[in-house]
Amino acid sequence: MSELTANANNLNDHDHHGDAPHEHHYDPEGDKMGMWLFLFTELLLFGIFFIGFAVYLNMYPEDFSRCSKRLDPILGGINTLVLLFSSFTMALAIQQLQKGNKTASQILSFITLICAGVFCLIKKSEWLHKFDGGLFLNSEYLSTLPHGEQIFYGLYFVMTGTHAIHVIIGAILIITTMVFVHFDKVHADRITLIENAGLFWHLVDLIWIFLFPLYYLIG
Amino acid sequence: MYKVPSFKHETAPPVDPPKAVHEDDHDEHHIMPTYVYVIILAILMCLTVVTVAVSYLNMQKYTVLLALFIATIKVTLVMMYFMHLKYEKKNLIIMIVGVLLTYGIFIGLTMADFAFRI
Repeated sequence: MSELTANANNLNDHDHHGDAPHEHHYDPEGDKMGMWLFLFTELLLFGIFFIGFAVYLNMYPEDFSRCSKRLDPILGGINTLVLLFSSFTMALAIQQLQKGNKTASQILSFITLICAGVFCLIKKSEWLHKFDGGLFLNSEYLSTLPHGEQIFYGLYFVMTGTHAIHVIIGAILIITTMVFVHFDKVHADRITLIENAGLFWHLVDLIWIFLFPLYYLIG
Repeated sequence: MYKVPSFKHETAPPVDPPKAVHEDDHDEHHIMPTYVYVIILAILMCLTVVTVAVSYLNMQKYTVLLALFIATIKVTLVMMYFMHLKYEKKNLIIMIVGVLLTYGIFIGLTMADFAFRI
């Protein structure tokens, strides 16, 4: 009886923060499931965009095909390869940390960040090319185009824009993880932070894997 | 002769030294060898090149279908290996399949309406 009260007091006291992290506070399975629950909401977010794309592709097939030809599949393809490679380096970063190779893990995380940067630069140059042609959301030129083309470009900017925001969020997550790894808060026995950052990054990659063929390759 | 009682049958099998203090993780944190990641990356990149190459052939509607089919394979590979789903617990897999089925209903019923309007 007194043991029970003693334990209850300990939990209320917060004195034990100076000790090594207690295993009963660490719930890797719960952490991972929580992250997946969040990823489901992200899947449905982009999923709804894709449904919109599917409906309007069905309504305006020629307009969509014509617009798709004006996007550069080589740039899109390079972006796809860059993101696939970054998923690879991120997965390896987690694996190396599981093996205890902190330096290798940090280097691989950093390479993932570089890939994120390259992706954003290519995306930016694609968008600027469109802007230079008078093609941006709510532009005058856009309002003169056939209805289907207006919808295509509207969807294009919104979807690739939201995706790019997620790339940036993913990069911030990875930077945060790198800081935690550096200070040994994340390591082989407490690895869920980098695993979850990796899951988010892979989601970003998954979305692009579907986005690329639908926008760039239907021409 | 005093025989030291053997506890082999009563205690759990020996756990690995210091690292494995966490109870249930040991099987899930199956560490994949590096070459698996490399092979999956190579397959993914090849499939990407195939998708782009096929788009240059004039297959109209079938380009999209083939591209989506290849994209589904790529997504499955990323989810199974990079996201580790091949080694995760069943209840997580069931949740993911459930969400994908839900989405399938969303898009399926939507297109069942729109695709058949005049």
